[in-house]
Amino acid sequence: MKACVCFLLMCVLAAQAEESPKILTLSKVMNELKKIQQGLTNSNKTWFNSPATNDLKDCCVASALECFRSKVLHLSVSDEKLKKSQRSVHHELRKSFIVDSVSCTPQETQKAQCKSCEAYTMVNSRTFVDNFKTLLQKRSMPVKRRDLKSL
Amino acid sequence: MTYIHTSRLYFRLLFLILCFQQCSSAAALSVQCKIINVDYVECIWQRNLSTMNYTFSSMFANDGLDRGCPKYILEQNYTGCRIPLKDQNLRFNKFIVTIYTEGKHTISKTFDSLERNVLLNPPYNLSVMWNEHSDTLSLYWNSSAPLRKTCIVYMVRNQKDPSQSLNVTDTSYSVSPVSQNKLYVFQVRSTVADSCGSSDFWSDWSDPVEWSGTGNSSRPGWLYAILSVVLLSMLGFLLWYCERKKILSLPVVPDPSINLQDLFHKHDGNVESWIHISKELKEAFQPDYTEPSCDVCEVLPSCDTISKPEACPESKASSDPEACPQTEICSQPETCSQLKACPEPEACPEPEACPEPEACPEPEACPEAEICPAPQTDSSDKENTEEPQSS
Repeated sequence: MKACVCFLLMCVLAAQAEESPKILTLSKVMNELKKIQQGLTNSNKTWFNSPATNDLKDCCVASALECFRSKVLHLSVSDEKLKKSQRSVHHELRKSFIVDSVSCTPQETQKAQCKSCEAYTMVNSRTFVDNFKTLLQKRSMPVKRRDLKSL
Repeated sequence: MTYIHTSRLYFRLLFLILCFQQCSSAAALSVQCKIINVDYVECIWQRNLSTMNYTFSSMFANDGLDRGCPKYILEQNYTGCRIPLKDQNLRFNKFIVTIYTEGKHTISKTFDSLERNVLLNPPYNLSVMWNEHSDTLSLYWNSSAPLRKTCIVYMVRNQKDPSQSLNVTDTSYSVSPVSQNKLYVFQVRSTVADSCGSSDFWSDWSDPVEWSGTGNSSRPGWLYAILSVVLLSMLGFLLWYCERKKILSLPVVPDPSINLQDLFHKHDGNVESWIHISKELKEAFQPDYTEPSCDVCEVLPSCDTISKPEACPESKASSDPEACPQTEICSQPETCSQLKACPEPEACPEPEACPEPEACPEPEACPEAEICPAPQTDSSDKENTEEPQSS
């Protein structure tokens, strides 16, 4: 009985929540990335493939996000707590409502001809984290379904 | 060989000249682009006097559309273009601007992204409320930016104490405790939050709102001006129609007739009835005794004055009838207690003939006075008792 009441209460609270789980998760990941960026070491010595967020097709966002997620564990940080933040980011971005939020069909994705991670430009770790944050900021905005011709 | 070297030199020189022209034209025309309130893109450039016509073209990367300029901005010092922003996410994309000038010159500029070039409109509808119970001053406002609430950061400041400015993420701000003797002047401005692609620009400050320590929400200055004008008008009105104030400021000649209206209209000028003298007081002023009058006879001039004609007596009977010697009228001789016997005049010698006196103006006729009964005397006295000659 108590479990049912608690469950119903959580459902009500979740329904009344102003922000969606996607926005809350992205905000949490953003905070973790800020901490990681402040604790970066050897910024100019380590380089990573980074998608250019300013020239990214909508249907390629998912692949770009996966590229960032896969490299975040390789960032060099000074503190053990920041390593925990890296793992948190790596885990949170696996969630389905993050990955599947871009409404592109497989055909659209194939037509977009998204680059692989290794095809993107190499940048230093600080620029890598900046581009990662920009992509997350872009993902936190509402997406407008545009004309297929624009892809 | 020499010919080849020379031609190569010419080509290089020509290439450098062309590059220099492009660079100089690009440098001469500096294009600045901003996203205004996440609603439209505004690009402006300095107008070159030698060139009057421009054709603007722009596009976002992966947007697929090469947009012309739907609305040009023509100002005295600069020219620009406004392009509607159809998707908020486009501000993260590369933005390419192309401007065609006269003479087929082309200026092109690429912005990596306009994410940090977002300028929001200032907040509006600022209002302040004071909660007396909790001694808390609450400030509320609205924002017109089409962004999620968590994507906007506000800065609140007190104009009277700029060190109190701080950032908030909500559209309200509270101050507690509140000083009753201080004047608070609040302003708010906004920018895009870091979580949504932070901008390098803050919006303009909002219109200020004041709150004084009286506990009421502040009133705008124009209300005080209107109240002052109304108050002055009322004072002027009172001054015009209020007679007492008018008399004090503009004194007039006193008119005692105002207080004597009853005397004139009710009592017909009878002062005694107006002043309400009591009967006893009236009777008190009635004489209860009589006093016998004292008859005074006229003193006759002596013979010396007659014998000296040069010293002709002045006629008292001048134009002024009051100058005539008055003789006591003995109306009731029997009441006279004593009749003074007039002294017997001396027998005067025959007077010498008086010189003709100067003609004197004819006096007015004196009122006839009764002559005291002359004592019986001899005939010589009769001559002397005749009226003196008037001169």
